[in-house]
Amino acid sequence: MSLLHIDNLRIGPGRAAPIVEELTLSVERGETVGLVGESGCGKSLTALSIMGLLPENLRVREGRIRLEGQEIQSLPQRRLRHLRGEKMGMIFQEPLTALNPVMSIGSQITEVLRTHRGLSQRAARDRALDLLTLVKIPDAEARLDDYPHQMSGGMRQRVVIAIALACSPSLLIADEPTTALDVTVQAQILRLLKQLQREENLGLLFITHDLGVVRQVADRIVVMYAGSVVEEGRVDAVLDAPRHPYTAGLIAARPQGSFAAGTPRLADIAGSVPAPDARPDGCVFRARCPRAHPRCAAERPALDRAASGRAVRCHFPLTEGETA
Amino acid sequence: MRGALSLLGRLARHPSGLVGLVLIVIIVAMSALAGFLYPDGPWTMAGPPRLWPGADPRFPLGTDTFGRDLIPALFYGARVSLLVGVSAAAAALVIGTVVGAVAGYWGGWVDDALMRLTDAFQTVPNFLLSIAIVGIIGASLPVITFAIAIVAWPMIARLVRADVLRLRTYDFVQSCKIIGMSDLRIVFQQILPNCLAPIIVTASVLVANSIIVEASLAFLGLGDPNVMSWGTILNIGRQELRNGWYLTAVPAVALVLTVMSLNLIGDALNDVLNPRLKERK
Repeated sequence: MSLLHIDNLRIGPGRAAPIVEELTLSVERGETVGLVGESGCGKSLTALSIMGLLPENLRVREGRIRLEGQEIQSLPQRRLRHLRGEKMGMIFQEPLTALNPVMSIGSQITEVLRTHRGLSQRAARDRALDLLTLVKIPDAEARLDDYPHQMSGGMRQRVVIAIALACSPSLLIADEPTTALDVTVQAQILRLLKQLQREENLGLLFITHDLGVVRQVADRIVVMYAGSVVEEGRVDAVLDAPRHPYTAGLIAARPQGSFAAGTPRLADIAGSVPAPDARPDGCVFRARCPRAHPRCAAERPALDRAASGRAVRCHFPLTEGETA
Repeated sequence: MRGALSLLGRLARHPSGLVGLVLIVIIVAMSALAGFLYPDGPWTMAGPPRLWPGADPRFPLGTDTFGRDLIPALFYGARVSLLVGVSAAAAALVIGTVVGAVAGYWGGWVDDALMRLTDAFQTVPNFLLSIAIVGIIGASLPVITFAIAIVAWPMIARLVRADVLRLRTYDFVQSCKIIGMSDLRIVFQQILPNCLAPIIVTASVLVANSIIVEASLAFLGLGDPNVMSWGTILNIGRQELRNGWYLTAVPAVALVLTVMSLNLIGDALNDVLNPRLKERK
């Protein structure tokens, strides 16, 4: 039984076009899954739907989300509240707004513990101290009474992680947790997350648009485009030999890490992600695809799963060594 | 508690805050000491009627038409003014905050319903509504307090709603949901402390406003006949305006000073509680 299993998920407003469709995804215990895609492809919505926190106008229209075999969408609010924090935690992109500006970080951490564990003030404070030490905040004792504005972005993100981990959840969702941080701090936070994940045997769903980050932290990668999965597989396998032209395009569009003359200009993928109500029939990527074929317009490709765990949604996938 | 004390300290370092604090301390002391200094109460006829201030050293502020000393009247009046002002403001604050927070956080039809109710209250001229309520139910301190609070809460409700609307989109609210906190706790324990600054500032103005309304009601003869308020003296003075204007002037000065001190405190609080101004210094 997977820790998290999402099956054929479809999220959308009432009758209008769905924003996420045919999304199938699973995360095992102790595994990191990198969920990648351009802005607006539905990554964050997927995360919110797992948490049961979709905005009011959106709803899960079809499909199932199971956490440890238990279906989440059908749970009453009370049970769901209990699951959040206790079984799953989430980290946001912006550590600046993710903490309450008028409460000390100590009380924000103890809050979770008192909500779920019913710990006494003292016990909760001790555990908060442990957590701050766990996320490597120096001089944790003195920091407990600090307010968020007294800390740097990286430190705040560590506090956010500490809060997410307070009740030792089994699933952690990180929605672009390092995007707002500078590069050196980003590396520290990633290393910390990775280490915590190993120690706590967490299932980590890591949402990002940065392929470099995915390569560093993830075991498996799931590439989303316009609301559905286009490619999936082991990180090294997918990034070394992408099969979907979109994945190949994303990889080609990465900066090469050099300012030297002669470094090729950044490649880009022509066009932009179509809006949910403007998605074409057939393959949604075909308008931007260098390999588009009349069949792509006629027939929507299915996600083709191979035994190796590799999956691709394309009529004409790239083969080994080929470039888009 | 520590927060309240440090706020008081910061207020005392602000020039207009200091003036306001000193004045309000004097007025509070007056109301606290009224019973101790003048155990006979404000109603005793102690001397000749219509004595001008300064005419008799026993009555430095003079006496009214019944020969009642104006000084105890002022002291006891401070009690009533403060009591009505603070309790009406507190009631308005509680109603307004709850309505505003609920409307702002839950939105949808709850918001619509509560805001239309707020609009309804705001379309009626405030003072007229207070007069009508006191006129119909009868003039007693609780009714007067209620009549003042019932017209004052919509302003607070709008203020709080606007702030909650802004704050609920913050990630920390989402984080609270994610750690499994209930909506009620999120609103009242996490969001509300963030809008405390404007609420506190408005509260001081609200107290001042309530004191004025109470005095105005008493001036029109709608005050509680069993208590001596500054408005009561005004009401007595109204009939004597031509030949004894001091009867109106004495309580009026007390009112002006009280309201001014509260407004000064409000201004100072606004500066002190504004984090951006604090950093600039």
